Amino acid sequence: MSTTQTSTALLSCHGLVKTFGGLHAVDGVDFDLYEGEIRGLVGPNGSGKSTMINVLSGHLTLDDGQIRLDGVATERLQPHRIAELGMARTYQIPRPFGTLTVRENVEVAAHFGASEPQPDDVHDEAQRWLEFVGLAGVADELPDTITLHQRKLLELGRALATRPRVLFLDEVLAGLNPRELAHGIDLVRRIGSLGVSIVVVEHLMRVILDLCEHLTVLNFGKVIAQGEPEACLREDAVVKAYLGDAHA
Amino acid sequence: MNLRRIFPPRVVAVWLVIYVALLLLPTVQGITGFPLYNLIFLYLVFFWITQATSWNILSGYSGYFSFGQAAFYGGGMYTTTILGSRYDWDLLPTLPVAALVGAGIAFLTGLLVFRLRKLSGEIFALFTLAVALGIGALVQNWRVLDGGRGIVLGQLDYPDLLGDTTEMLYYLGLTLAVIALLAAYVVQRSRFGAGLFAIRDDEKVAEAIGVPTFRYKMLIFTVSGALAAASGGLHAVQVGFISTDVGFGLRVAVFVILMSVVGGRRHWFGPLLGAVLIQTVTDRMAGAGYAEANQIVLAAVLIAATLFLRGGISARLVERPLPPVLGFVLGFVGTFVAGYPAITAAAWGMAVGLVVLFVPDRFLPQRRSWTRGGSAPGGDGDGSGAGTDDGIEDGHRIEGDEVIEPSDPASPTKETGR
Repeated sequence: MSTTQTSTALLSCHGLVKTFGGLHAVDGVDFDLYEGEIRGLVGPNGSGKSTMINVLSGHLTLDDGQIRLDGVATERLQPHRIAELGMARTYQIPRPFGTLTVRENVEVAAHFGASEPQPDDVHDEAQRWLEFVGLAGVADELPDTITLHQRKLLELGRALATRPRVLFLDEVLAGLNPRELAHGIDLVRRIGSLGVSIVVVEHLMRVILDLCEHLTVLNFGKVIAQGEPEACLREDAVVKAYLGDAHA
Repeated sequence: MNLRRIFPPRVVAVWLVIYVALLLLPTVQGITGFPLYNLIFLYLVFFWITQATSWNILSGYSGYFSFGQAAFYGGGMYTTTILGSRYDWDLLPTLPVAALVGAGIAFLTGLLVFRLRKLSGEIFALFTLAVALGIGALVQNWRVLDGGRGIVLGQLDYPDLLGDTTEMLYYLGLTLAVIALLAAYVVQRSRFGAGLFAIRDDEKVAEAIGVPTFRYKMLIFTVSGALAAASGGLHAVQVGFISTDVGFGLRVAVFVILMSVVGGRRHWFGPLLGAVLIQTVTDRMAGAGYAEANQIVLAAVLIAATLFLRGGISARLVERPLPPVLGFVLGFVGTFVAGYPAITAAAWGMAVGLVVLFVPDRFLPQRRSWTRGGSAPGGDGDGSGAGTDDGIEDGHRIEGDEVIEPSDPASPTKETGR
């Protein structure tokens, strides 16, 4: 359960706890993300992955624990302050701004987002990200007229336009056909090569193994394995969590 | 922020010409002697433009649908009335104070609904209504303010420069309308406006991409309250006898909503169109002795607008400005030359313009930009960004793809001139 990096983490979480009534959705999670890393966050349904993202992005308030983003405590900050510090996320089910065009969706993110670097020109910045994710051709459409794949790309483009240092991708590649999937994996890799640290939440093991240098496996709100993807997935606890006791 | 992008010189020039023409109108009236009534009518148009725009920058832009316009309007009205009638203030200094009172009421309401209890949707609407009715009840029962008998507002002093009372109302009403429209225009084209539109569509996502949602909602609520109250203060002079029915009744709230919905809530000039249209209709119906039928007509207009023009008149007008504008001009000039009064002619012009506006595209000469986006993946989008998704649109899109596309050599080039 140790990572090989020795530098200080860009995002460092310690003892995160989030409960809903009596349910411990996140139960004492320690989690470090390093500069430029692509980290997989996996686990069975209900293991606390989405809750983790909601807690880290400030959508849900933490019951206990510390979060440091580049040394700044974020656990009591409002979501827009966390975004200003350079944290961005996508949504599992795309949530575009429905009355704004694709371009305007990205533009508004470029207007806001991280407090630095500020874009010189919001229009140009938006255009850049539209081209990056491949939506320049439908930039003036409304979100409900484009395909699901394109809406997922819009989630990515909008998140990127906020100029994040840390990006959470919540099943952004789920539900795509094989060709779209290959394109998506390539895209995430290119985002990583821009220097953005990425946390990939995903059910598709192929995606995880393709993309991630490190894995964190959650079950019932606890970290049950952490480290190299192949090794992680062989650990007894992980096999049990996914397949049940009989296979361990 | 690029000033030329916010204020394109051609747009500024057009509006400056209109503004100067309106400024000169009372002088022209003095010389040519066309009916003074026109100035009173125009004052009321300005008044409704200000009120509807004030409502729209809050409710249209941020999506927080308010029924509480009267809280600000009535608050401003009573501020001017009390300062003027009991403390002998001049008119002009009461207006900033009225604006402050309106801003204060909005600010406190905002703290309650946005911070203490995060209200939205219908609960927000009900709460704003309750605030307006509550303040009305307070004023009605508290003798220091009114006490239920109403207040007669006598003649207030104002600079002689502004002419007689009608002219003074006209000039000040115009000024307030211009301030409101300028505010709406600048907000729409700024980062602030982008943030408000994001809040309207999905507040959680807006917050997540970095929009300071609480601060923005408070700010737009306060500005909206200040504008409505200043305009209400001036309107006290026109009304003359102020009671809680006038100040805090439902009429203003209903009308500003009607005007904004008909005109369109996505554009800064939507409420302007709605205010001009509805005030003209109301005025002509009353003039012709059909004041009772007016509500039926307004209801019909509202039904037509909500069924066929989801983005309001403004959205459709932005897509296809020329035919309705031509229709208006023809209708206006035709009836005016035939000897009808200017306002009646304007009403006919609007009627013709509206009919043209409702004509489906397939009955009109085709134009390149109507088929815009036809070559893009996903096919049929019409990226006006105006939020129009009405049935007429869908119908013509299909036709557009089949019929127009092959014969139109220019259509594959994407238009991006937004």
